[in-house]
Amino acid sequence: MASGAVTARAVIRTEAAGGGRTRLETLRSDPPLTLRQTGPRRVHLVSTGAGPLRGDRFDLAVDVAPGTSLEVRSVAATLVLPGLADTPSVMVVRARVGAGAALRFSPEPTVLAAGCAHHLVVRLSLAEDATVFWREEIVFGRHGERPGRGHARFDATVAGRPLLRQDLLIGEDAVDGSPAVYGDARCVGSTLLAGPAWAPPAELDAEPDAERERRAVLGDGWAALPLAGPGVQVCALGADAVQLRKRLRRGEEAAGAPPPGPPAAARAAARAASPPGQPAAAQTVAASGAFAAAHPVPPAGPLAAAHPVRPPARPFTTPADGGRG
Amino acid sequence: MSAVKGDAALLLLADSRLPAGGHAHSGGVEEAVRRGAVTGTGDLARFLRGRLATSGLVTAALAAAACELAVSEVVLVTDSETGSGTAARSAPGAAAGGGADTGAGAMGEPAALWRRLDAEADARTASPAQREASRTQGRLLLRTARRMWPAAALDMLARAVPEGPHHPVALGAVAASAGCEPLQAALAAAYATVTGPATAAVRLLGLDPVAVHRLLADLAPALDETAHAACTSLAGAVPLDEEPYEEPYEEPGEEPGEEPDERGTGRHAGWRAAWRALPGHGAPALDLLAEGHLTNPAKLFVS
Amino acid sequence: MGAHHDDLHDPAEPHGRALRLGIGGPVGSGKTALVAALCRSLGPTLRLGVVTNDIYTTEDADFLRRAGVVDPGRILAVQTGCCPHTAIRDDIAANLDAVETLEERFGPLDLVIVESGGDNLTATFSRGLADRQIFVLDVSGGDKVPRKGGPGVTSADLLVVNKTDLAPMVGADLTVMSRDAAAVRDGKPVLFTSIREDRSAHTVAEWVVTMVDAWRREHGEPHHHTAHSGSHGGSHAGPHPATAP
Repeated sequence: MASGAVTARAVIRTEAAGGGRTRLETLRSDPPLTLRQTGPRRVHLVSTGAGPLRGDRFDLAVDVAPGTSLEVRSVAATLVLPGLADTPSVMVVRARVGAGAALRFSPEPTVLAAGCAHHLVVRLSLAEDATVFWREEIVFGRHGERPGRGHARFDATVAGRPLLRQDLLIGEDAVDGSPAVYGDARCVGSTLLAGPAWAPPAELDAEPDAERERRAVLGDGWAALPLAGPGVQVCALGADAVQLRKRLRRGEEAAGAPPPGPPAAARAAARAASPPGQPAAAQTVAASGAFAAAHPVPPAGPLAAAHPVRPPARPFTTPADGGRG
Repeated sequence: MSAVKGDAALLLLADSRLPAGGHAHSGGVEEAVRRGAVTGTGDLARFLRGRLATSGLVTAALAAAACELAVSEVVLVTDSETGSGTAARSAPGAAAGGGADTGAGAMGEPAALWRRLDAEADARTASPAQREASRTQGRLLLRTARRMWPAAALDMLARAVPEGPHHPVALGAVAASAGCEPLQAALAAAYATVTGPATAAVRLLGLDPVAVHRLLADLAPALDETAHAACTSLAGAVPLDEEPYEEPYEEPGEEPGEEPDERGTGRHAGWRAAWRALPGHGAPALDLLAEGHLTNPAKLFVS
Repeated sequence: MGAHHDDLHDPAEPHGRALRLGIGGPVGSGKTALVAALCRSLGPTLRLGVVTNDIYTTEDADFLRRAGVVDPGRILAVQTGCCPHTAIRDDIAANLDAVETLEERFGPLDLVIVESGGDNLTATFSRGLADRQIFVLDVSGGDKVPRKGGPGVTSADLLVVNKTDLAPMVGADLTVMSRDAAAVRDGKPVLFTSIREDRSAHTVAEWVVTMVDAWRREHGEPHHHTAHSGSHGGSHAGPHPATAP
């Protein structure tokens, strides 16, 4: 490893402070991976140096204790730069979200500058009834330049069961400009919405049935894809970061994501405040099968509409479409 | 890994004439053509290369994993029938001397393993349209293969995943039943991810079939590499962050019929650990194309 | 899963299941009209299922549904990836899946009709898919078609020559067609129809009833199949009923 490579670790840990409130139990970071508390349950990543550069290794551990909620954001895009080292820069984010806890992770995009080599590894471990909003945006190089090389691996499990495992390769010959992978897009993004509210409809009969697949919502350059497990992945491609964000937002709305702003605090409070046996608002929505976790009303999008009841034998809801896929 | 034993079976398995419904799937090409993203051999070449590097690698790895499981499962089922009580082949990474988990529940465990591997395929297929197409093809392949190469592993898989296993999972199990090695299963899977779309493009665009086969010939080294990479990923099973990883939140009850203590050590945990790190290379455009295909009122292909 | 369904060596095991009737023929000869006519005349007395193999997904299935001749759920559409003949002859997996899906959902059935996508004169059904097959020609193709033969014309259990009402207009000589067909068909029956005039195609329907009765005598009363002989039970993402939601 070339001299000057930086290793930085950061930890965020919450604890329940009673009355449904969240307290930051630990907030520890090394420059340039610096964390700042910016709200009662909100932490910002504040990059206090250039990079990461090749050879750098950043580790972020996020532990959202049962019943608490946390939002993690960043103040600016991460610009991954080349460096002298032979090894790629590595950013590892390990997050676990406990029972009844909620995490919203929505940093600004990662920009892969020409010549960089970067690994982004996310391991997200959810308890059975944890709720997560996790957004990831990758920009293929600064304006007008070819992207560096990137490999993003995302692993999400719910109670140990695989929910989503995905690698994205950027800047490799095989995928560059392929109409099967990114087409002519210059950035790619995805948002995972996971939690009990996004669970597939319960089996109403004993017979397994592949037609239970929920239908995706498709827009221009984005799709909200209901996963086999309790989650929806919004994926989007864009010509630039602004377009990408717009598309992701549309997909997130279609999937029933809560609007940006105060994170899961309100719903956690509502849950805590509701009498035992009486589900809180969020849970009522979930129980009725709507896609929205923390939405005050079930979203009107096709995802939600298709969700509450077991779809009919023929799953398509688009009248124009007569056949199977 | 010898690639001699199952060579002829591999040819049968990879042949587009195998009557298992594959001819009706375009792998996203029909929608790409409809949207003007694939118009000729140039962009078809890029389409195929990108598809191979993403879904090709993933399906190859899953097929290799399924093949490995099916081979070991045949042994396991035989053991439970003869009562010999020894597993002739243990899972990668499994703790040695796992005598404790043989015997009781021997039928339950393979079924749970098949479901788990199938769930790993689910987790690598975000698009519901693609999951459905994959299960449809898997079900049809299994139907055909159970007559061609009857085997206990295939019956077990059919019972374990009655809605139809994912295509690569079925393909790997079928390859094992046909006498193929995991590498051959991986090769068949990688091959199918490009030949189906290539044939569809010939039909949809009226392309010169020789020109398209030239593209496939150009891809042959990449196909070999993909199959090898798939098997390496299975053998290596080193997560990208290169640290042993304990799942903080484990399944409380796992599958019914499982021994709870199997989760920590033993064969089951070994398989699961190996599968966790398998490649999951995504292709957002393929996801969008697969979902867009469903909105085409005049489609010729299933997917 | 009973032992019967685990016998994979002959999934077309005829015992206790519906007669599978293939209907093939060139584009525009009236296959879908014939299926509709058969549903109309046989629906009241026989338990039916229909599988269509459209070029464009569900056109025929939609036509049948609109015709209101059979419960829409009993019509399944199979996509054939530009190759209708492949789906009924060389790779019948998707069609078998559809047939067995119908038998699971609605069984026991007496008759499952599999309509091929319009194709050429060489397209015939695999014996693994259809127990009996009808080949439909129409007079407008010219009265030379039966003489030219082809596997459909020569080997189908029944040859139907449709649109006889158009014969004078297109200059087709029905006598010639009848004679030529008899010459190449080795005694197998030929029926002339005009489904436009006889919307229940009663002569063809009678032939089908004879076939169904004979099938039942030979192989027993159809009983419910709870699982695909192939690999799985339950309804699933097999071909979808080609109906609007």
